[in-house]
Amino acid sequence: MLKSTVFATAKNCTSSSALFPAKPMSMTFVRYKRTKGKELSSNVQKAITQMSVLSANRKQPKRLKLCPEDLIKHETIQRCWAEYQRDLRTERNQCLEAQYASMDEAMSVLEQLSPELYTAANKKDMKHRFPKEFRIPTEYPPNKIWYYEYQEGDGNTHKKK
Amino acid sequence: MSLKRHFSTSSPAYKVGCSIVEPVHHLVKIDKRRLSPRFPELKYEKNDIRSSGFKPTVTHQDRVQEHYYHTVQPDLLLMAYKHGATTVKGAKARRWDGSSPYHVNRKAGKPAGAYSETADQKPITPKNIPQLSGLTVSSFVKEAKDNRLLQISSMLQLQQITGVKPKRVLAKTNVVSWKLKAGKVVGAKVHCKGRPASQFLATLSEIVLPRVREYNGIYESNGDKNGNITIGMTPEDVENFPEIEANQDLWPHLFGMHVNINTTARNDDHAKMLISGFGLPFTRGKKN
Amino acid sequence: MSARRALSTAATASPSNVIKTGLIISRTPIVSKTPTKLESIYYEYQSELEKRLTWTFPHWYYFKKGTLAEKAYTKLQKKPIFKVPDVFYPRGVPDLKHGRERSEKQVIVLPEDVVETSSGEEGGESAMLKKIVPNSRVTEADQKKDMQSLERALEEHLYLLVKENTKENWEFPTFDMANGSLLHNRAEAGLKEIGGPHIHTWTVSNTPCKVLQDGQTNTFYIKSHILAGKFAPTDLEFAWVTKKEFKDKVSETYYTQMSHLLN
Repeated sequence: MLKSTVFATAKNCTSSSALFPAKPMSMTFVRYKRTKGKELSSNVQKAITQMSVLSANRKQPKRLKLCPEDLIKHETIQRCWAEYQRDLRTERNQCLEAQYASMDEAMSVLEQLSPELYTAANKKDMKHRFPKEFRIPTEYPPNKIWYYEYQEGDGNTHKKK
Repeated sequence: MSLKRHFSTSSPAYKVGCSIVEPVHHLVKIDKRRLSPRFPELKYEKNDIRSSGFKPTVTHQDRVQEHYYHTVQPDLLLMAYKHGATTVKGAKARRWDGSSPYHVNRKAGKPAGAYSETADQKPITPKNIPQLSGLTVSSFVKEAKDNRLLQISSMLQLQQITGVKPKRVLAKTNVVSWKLKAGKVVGAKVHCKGRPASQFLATLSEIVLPRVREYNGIYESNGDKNGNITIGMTPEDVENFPEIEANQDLWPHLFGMHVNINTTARNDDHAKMLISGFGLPFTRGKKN
Repeated sequence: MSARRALSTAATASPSNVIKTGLIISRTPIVSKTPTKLESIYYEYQSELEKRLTWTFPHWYYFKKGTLAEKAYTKLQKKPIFKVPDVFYPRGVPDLKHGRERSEKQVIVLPEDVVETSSGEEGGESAMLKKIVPNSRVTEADQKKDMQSLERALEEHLYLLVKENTKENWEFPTFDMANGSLLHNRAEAGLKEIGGPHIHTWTVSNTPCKVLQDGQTNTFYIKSHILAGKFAPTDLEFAWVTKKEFKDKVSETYYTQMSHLLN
């Protein structure tokens, strides 16, 4: 650290001496606060910071370099996962196919037994929506798990108190 | 404005009355990277761990997708099932029959009874139950015409709330009255798929939209007739995202945005049935 | 209208085919499924890979230079090892950029984490600093094995099974058709007849999802979800069961007929 400052000082002196030979040489060099690069307005500075968040520049880690053994391990893991996912998918599809077959059968039977009920059951309400109370399961349950106090004719059920 | 020929685009602006040059159709795309024996490390697929663009995707449980598989999908099959249904043809553009030589290059007529073409309605079976295919979040920054720095800010906003790297949006056309020039940067967009899309949808339905003032749900009139629903959000609504709310002093200027929910449904009603299953209610009312 | 109604009555009343309606009503899961062992191991593997490959955290954006917050942040972080010439590094030469070792994952300690743990130990003096403790995924009803509670088996679908006093078997509630009513309307009304009016349900569709043909009786099943309220019958045994418990409770034939409808 020390060495480099001395070197810089010396270099600085030589260049200045070439420009102004009349001035006496001094070995003490004072580095003032940099003023040249400070012309950017605060808005631009802010935008540069924002771009540095978006950009990969100087933020990327080293690339992974796997040895052949690790690569084989990784590929085995990936294959295992892919097969597990495929099994889940097959199971899901079979279940849906069975459900479809059973609703198809039910409607065929209903068509023969009661044409009127069949027509009503086959009439599709395209404005049918999932209810407001439907929610995506969370990792942990809410404080009040079930709203038992529902009274007939209550509009909004899941009201928080 | 360049006047070179674009075979990749069919912009009507460049179209002349009749074609003088035989069109060239580059049907076979050649990936030259693969022909060369050099740089084998550049030939890996993106999902290969040896590729420089590798990014693990299955990093946590996807509760939104699980909810879809366990509850929404079987219900949706029953809701959309119609006994004895057949394919209903959608509205198609009316092409000229070619009985006159002037029909070459003549623009096809608008579909009967519709503004644009719609897809054929196939009966719903276990093979084509509507599902979420992705999300597109985009914001058009009007002020970016005068202050280009604001566009950077809007890009960052999208990255912060979705966790996916956004892209710039360039103006396509010149509109003199809006001071818009083709090629100018006017906004940002981001496409999410998989876990980021699930995460964004859950945040939207559980945290952001319930805190929007006078919010009753998405309007039923939304939709593009092809199963894509768009929610418009004002800068005040965007404030409710936890990523923005936690660092309010970093966000003196927020941007409104459009959240485009893309589904595989062939019509809006099926798309709305699906989306309502994710805790996004719909209300009957005027368009927002 | 009257002619149609007469037709339906004839169809329902004729002895050759009796139409009944049944209700498969379920409570949807409240918490997400516990990942299996394979899943949790794989998620951990992938997230570790992700952490190793993520870009450096831009702390300069969140903590402005020269602020107290930045000082507190830098104080908490583990100091990286710098590269000094003529020094041997047995674990690889350090490669630092923005204070992050590029060959490793970046571990960030946030000031909030520290506040949370310290206040948690002391018992939490203020509401702001109190650590959030999530509710348990296993409830009281789970431990008591209260089959009539809806606050049970939170990660599973719960299905309503009833047993009439005259019968031996547990099964989904079924109702005789009333004149002129539709399948799904009758099923909804029937549930309120046996279980009281204070129950909020949502019928999935007016289409039946299953028919059970037993001799002359045809029972069409309608799918529904309970959203709020209580099923409180007066003279009926009932239970909310998961698919696994359903298998133990009902007869084997009934299970094979119905299992594909349950999740």
